Amino acid sequence: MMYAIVDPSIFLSLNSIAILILALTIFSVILLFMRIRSWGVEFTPFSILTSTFTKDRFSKRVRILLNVSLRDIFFLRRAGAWCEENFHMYGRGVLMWGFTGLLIFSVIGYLFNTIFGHLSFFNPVNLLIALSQLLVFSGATMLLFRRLSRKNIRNSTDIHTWLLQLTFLLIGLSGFLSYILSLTGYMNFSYGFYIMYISSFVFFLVYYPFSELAFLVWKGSLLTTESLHEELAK
Amino acid sequence: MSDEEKGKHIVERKYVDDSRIIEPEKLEIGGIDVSGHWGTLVLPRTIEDFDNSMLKKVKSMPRGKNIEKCWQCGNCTAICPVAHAHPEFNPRYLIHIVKMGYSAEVEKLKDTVYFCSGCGLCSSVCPKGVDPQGVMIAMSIAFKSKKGYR
Ligand code: SF4
Ligand code: SF4
Repeated sequence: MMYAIVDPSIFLSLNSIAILILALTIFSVILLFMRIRSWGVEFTPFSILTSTFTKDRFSKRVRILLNVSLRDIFFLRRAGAWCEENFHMYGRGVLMWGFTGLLIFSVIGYLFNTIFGHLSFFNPVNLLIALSQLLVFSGATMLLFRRLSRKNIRNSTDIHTWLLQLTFLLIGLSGFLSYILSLTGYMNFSYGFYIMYISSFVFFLVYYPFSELAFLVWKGSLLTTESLHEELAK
Repeated sequence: MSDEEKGKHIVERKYVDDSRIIEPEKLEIGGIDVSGHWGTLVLPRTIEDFDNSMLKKVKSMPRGKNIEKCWQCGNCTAICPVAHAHPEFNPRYLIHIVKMGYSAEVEKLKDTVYFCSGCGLCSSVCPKGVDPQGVMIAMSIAFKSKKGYR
C-alpha cells in the first residue's frame, strides 16, 4: 500500500489508492505464480511456506529462515561471496534496502494516517518513506550508470533489464521529489510527481512478474529453501 | 586409488568424469611391470551417455535460444568475476556440456549454475551473441524444469 506523503484527495482518496494497490499486489502475486509455473518447474517462491509451516521443528525452521534471509539476501552475504564487482553488488543492495523500507514504511504510514489522522511532513514515518525513496533512486541510478557507462554492457543489455531499472528509478525519483516539493510549497508540482509515483508503482506491480525480477525472486527463494534444508540436516 | 589421484596425468583432468577413467594400479605385460600413466584409459562415451533434452529446454527459452552459436572461445569465463572466485563455476564449460549432451557432467555440475550473479559482463564480451548471462538464466530454470519453456 502506498501511503501518500502529500494529500492526494484532489485526485483520489487515500483509501481508494490503498485498495487499488492491494488489489494489484494480489493480482501480481498470482501473475508471478502463473509465470513461474509456465517454466515447468515444481518449485515456486510459495514452496518456502510449505517448507517452513510444518509441525516438525516449526520454531527452528522459522529461526533458520529468518537468519538465512537476513544474512544471505538482506546483508548481501550471498551476493558478496559470489560477486567481486562491488559497485554492482552495492547498487543492488541499496535498491533492495530502499524498496523493502518503502513497502514497510508505506504500510505503517497508511495505518498511522488512518488511525491518527494526516501525519505531518516531518513525522518520522514520512521521513523514513522519503529516505527509502531516496535509496531506491540511488540504487537504480547506480545500476543504470554501471550499464550506461560501459559501451559493451550497454549494447548487450536486455530490454527488460532497462525497463525494470528505469521503473525503479521513476518510483524513487518521483516519490522523493513529490515529498521535497511539498515541503517547499510547490504543491501542484508535488501532486504531479505523486501521480507519477503511483502510476510507476502500478506499472511495476503489473510488469515485474514478466521481468527478470521474477527469475531473481524464484532463484532467491529456491536457494533460501535449500539453505533451510541444509541447516536443518546439520 | 583415491578419485583425486586417479588419472592425474590427464590434461584438464577435472573435466573427465571419474567413472570413465580406468587406471590399473599395477599393470604387467609379459612379466614386465609397465605400471604408470600410459596404462590410463579414458573410456569412450556410449550413445546412452548423451542426452540432448537439456539443450532443447534451454533453447526453448527466449534468452537461451542462441546457445548453439557458442564457439567455446572462453571470453565469458575469462571476464566472469564469480568464476574467478569460484572456479567450479565455468559458464563456457556449462554451455559446452549442455550443448554436447554430456549428461553425467551436467548432473555433476548443474548446481554451480546458481552461482551466476547476473552481472552481464559475459554477455558484453561474447563475440557470437550467445548472451551467456541469459543462457545461465535459461539453464537455471531448465535444470529444475519438466518442460522448459515460458
Ligand atoms: S564468450 Fe560466447 S562464444 Fe565465447 S565461450 Fe562464452 S558463450 Fe561461447
Ligand atoms: S552474468 Fe553470470 S556468468 Fe556472466 S559474468 Fe556475470 S556472474 Fe559470470
